Amino acid sequence: MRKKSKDSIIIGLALFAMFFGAGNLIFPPAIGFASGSQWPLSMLGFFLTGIGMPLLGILAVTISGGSLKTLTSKVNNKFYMIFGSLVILLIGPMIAIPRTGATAFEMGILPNFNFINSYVSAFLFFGVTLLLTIKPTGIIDRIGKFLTPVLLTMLSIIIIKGIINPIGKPAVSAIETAFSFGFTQGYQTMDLLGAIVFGALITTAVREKGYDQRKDSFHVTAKAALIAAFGLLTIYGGLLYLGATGSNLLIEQTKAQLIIDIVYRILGISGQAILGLGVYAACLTTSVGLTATVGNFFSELTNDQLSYRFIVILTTVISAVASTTGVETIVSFASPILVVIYPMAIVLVVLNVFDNFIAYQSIYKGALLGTFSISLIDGLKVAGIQMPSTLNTFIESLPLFSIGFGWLLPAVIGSIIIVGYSKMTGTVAKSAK
Amino acid sequence: MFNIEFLQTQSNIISDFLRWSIEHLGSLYFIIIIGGIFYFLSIKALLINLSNKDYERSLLVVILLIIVFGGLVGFALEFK
Repeated sequence: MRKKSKDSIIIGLALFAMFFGAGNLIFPPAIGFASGSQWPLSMLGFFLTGIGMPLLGILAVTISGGSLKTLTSKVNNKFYMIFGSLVILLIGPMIAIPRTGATAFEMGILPNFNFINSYVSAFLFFGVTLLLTIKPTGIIDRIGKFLTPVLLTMLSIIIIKGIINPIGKPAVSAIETAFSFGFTQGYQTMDLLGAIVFGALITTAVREKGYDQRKDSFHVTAKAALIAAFGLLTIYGGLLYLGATGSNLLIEQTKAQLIIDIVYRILGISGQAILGLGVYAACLTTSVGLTATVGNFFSELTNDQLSYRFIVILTTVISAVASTTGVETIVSFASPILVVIYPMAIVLVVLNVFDNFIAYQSIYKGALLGTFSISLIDGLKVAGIQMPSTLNTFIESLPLFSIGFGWLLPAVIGSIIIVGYSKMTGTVAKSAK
Repeated sequence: MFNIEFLQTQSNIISDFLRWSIEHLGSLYFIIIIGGIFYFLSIKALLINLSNKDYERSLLVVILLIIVFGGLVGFALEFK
């Protein structure tokens, strides 16, 4: 096999596994379960946003130059520092990494080894994470060659058995708008945020393998991203179908319990071990990918004043403590910030797609400001802060608000206003081409 | 005079117009006219990228087109 193809496959498999965290394991069956017989429509909607947007995010980062810094370079350095730090902290040690540890314990360890307590589990889980990330080179290879095969094997056993011997027939769905449901759920996975940070990690890995030229580097990354997307498509599709087959049999319950019940009905008691191993591998690959990203980002931001090793150690320690003590407290504090920055990440990615047609840099600033004005209100609402009823009515009446895209029109208006203002005041800066 | 309620009414007009246009003129109209504006601009961008041999950026535009067009078709069919 040619070196380029081999590298693309390994990087693609690693990317698939890093994306495929525990959340992605429990989300699709819940969508299938709610959609019942309408599952193919939900699946289509979910694919568009749950796979299409992260794929776009990875490629947008790569084409912009391969890092969060280059993705945000058209705004300004302060924005990069604040936005980048928030994204990395939120999907790093504040929410996502501790959650991987907590889920690995609840779904992977506890059902199979109930004598292991959460502290020992966190110590082991984050110990392995540290071991796999302490050396900044070769991380992608370690995930792609060793961890992904374990994850894929476990998931394949569950899905193939569930398709050959379905546990039931999909129930007639009460959801009238199954496509919109899947589309919205895919949007809400917020995997685009993961994509823009993994995009940077992948580009570094591609360059480590000797692809220094922009074209070569993009080709390898694009192939890897398409392999990862194909993997997600197959596994999401399979899991969503399994959820639909359970819709006639099982009662409404938590998402995690739903997948446990479905796997138990498919594989019996042995399913518990297979699912446990699958969940553990899914959580570990995500934890490794995110920890390495946190290390790379902050060592670059501080010009190596804080070393990669120091940040990685600090991240795993904080995540281990948070995973055993108070993930939910941190989540309740951090979720509103996620709601604020997620639409901004989408706007950044889309603008980077059309970057060669954007004449003025202020379009970036205006679009982000317009988006921020709406996402901030959404974030405050999520934080439990009461908004005046007129403001709520206004926000809710924005086009596409019901599917989470209420910020779209303000983004367009914001860029028009800022460009107009900059032209009037003579401060308009043309984009470098 | 130009208070927040004023803006709210304008926004509702846009949403209502989209729904009304699908209900009265059909989803094909919605896809061609509403989606068409976005598609016209995106395809133009795609063609320029292709003529400049910027295949990398073309791929990104194609992916975005699939997401948006897929979304528009799906929503149109469900609004119908």
